[in-house]
This record gives sequence, structure tokens and C-alpha cells, in this order.
Amino acid sequence: MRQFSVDESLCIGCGLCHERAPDNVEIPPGAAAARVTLQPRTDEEEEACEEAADYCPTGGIHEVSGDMSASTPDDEKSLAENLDAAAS
Amino acid sequence: MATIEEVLTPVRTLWKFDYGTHNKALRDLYEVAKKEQWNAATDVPWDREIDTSGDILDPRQDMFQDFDFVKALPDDQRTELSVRRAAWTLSQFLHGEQGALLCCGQLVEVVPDIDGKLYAATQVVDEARHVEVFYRYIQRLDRVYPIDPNLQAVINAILQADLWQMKCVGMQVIVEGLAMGSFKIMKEGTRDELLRKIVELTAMDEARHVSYGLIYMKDELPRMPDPDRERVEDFALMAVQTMVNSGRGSGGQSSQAALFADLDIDMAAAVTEVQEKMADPEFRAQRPNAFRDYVIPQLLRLGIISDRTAPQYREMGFEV
Repeated sequence: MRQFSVDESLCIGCGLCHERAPDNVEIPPGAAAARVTLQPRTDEEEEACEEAADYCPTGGIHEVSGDMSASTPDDEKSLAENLDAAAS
Repeated sequence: MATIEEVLTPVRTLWKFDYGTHNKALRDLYEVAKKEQWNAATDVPWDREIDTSGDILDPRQDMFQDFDFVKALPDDQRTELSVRRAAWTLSQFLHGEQGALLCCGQLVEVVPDIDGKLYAATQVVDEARHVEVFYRYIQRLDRVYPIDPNLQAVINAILQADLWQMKCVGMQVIVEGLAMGSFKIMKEGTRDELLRKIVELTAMDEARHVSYGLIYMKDELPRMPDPDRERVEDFALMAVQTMVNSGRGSGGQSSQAALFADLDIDMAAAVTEVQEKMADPEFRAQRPNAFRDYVIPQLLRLGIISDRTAPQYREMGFEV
């Protein structure tokens, strides 16, 4: 399965990537840029992430080589913390 | 400045009687556009005063601040020039937004499918809102300055282009990409909260506009006959060359002459310094560059910068 990442220096936080790949890309509350919070696990998610990358207006979403899954739990934890913080 | 100018355009208007969705990505973008509309009259904090005590433009974006002829000015004149410079720059965005309004009105007519027409219709409203918001801000800041002749030449070329793909690349990828990147830089650097809010809202709209160009052209360009695709490549090169050269002292600087009226500036020396500094690759490399960061990469991804045209982009200093 292909892996993706966001170049935060390019991202303007428009959220179009989240519209395309809602299960994988988020703009955490309070953040200015999007993050890949969960690498694709299915063909559908992979296709959605590819679309998000292809149609990203800043060109800020890239396919990355190597296994990014190690970072996934941290990213998920971080997102959950941010959501909790926003809720409180 | 004449308040009305006529441009004759060869628009080939297309009806489409198949109303079904054929490009889901475009239809999805249309849905996002409907959700993300905002009101320039009520969603902008117009009750805030403009703060002219600090930098209105990002100091990295306002190259004048590094010029000797500006540094030599008394404080009050330097502040006055900074305000005028911001108004001039924002005036170019105002005129660019009107140009986008006109071009996007054409896109509604010329694109061949209903998904593209519906989305373009939302963009027409976006552009109207941008004209409204920038005009209102500039009026409070200083006054509207005339359009830069090179910017107008590019927009007129887009309006007069006979292929809809030229219009789409020229406006949606190049002009909108430049605006989106510039607003990001402006948002990060301005000290004025009112302008920050305006460019933040506007950049979100511009992002959709660029995405529209990417969605459409990703599918369309590979389908085009070679001669037509080469015409699109040449058109993109012309647009980039014209706008880049404008920023480097051809036309663009002369159109800023009105900024210097009543200030103690030696115009000949100022023009020489501007042209020398803008010809210096190191000086340019130190500054944020929306062309380099947001326009050229997208043209590369779409394959619009080909082996045939790449050398001319390199001559402009782009790594392609």
C-alpha cells in the first residue's frame, strides 16, 4: 500500500484533501496545515489519498517511499488529543 | 485611467444537454464550493482600523524596503511609501480578481461538460466577492492604482485564447496559483489583522480554483492532439514569462511610478537600483516566490513544461 505525507511549509490549510480522503487526512484543531493521520489501509483509501495528492492546489501532498506506518499510532494519538482538547 | 476598456474575444459557447455527473472529482469540488461560500460584507471584521504603523505587506514580499533609495527617505515618507506600495500591490490583485471574474464567466460558456460549468459558476461568485472585498479594503488604505500592463496583457490573452484549455491553464493554474501562493505569504507576514482575515478567506477560495484546473487538465491534456497541446505549453510559457519579467522591472516597475509622487526620490536612480536588484538571482532567491513554490511545480506535474519549453523556464531561473 502506498504511503503519503504533507509538506506543511506548502500547505495553506484549505481542507480539500480532507474532503477527498476523510479517513486519512485531517487538519487537527488549531493546526494551520493538514496531516496524514492514518496511512491508507484499503484500495479505496489509497485511491482517495492519491486523488487528494493529485488535486492538492499547493502540491503539498506527496507519496513517500518506505514504511510510514510506524508513525501512524503517534499521529492518531496526536489527533485524538487535539480532538479531546477541542471538545473540552 | 479609462474606466472601461473593450476586449474582443472569440468565445465558442457550448450547451450541454447531458446533465449527469461524468467527472466526480469536479462535482465533489462543486459541493465543497457551495458549502464554503462567505459574505464579504458580513464575514470580514470591517470595524477594525487598518494598522499602518507596522508592515502591511510581508517585509519579505515588499522588496522596496531593502532598497537604498527607500532607506534614505525620512520615516514619515517611508511609511507613506509603504502604504502606497501595499495599495498598489493589492490593486493588482483587485484587477486580477476582476480578470478572473471575466475569464471564469467565459469558462461557464466554453467548458464542454456540465460538471465543469456548474463549478465555474460558483467561482464567478467567488471572484465577485474578491473584487468587493479588495476594493473596500484598498479604499480605506489609499486608492486604487492602475493595472500593471503586463498583468493586463496576460489576462487579455487568456480572455482571447481560442482553446478552453488555454483559459483553464492560464487562469486556474497560473494566475490563481500565483494569487493563492501570494495570499499565503501575505497572511504570514502582514501586521494588519483586517488584511490577514481577508487574504485567509480569499486563499481558501483560490485553492479550489487551482484544484479545478488540476482536476480538469490532468484528464484533458493527455487527450489533446499534439499540436494543440503544444499551443497550451507555449501559452503557459508566455504567461509565466510576461508576469515574471514584469516583476523584474519590465513594465511592472514603470507602472509603480505613481507611488513616488511627492516623495523625495531620485526616480532615475530608483529605477536603476530596482532593475539591478531584481536581475540579481541571489536577491530574488532570498524572497518568498509564489511562482517558484506554487505555479511551476503544478505546471511540471501536469506535463505542461515539456522538454521543448523547459530551457526557457531555466533561463528565468526556475529549476525544471
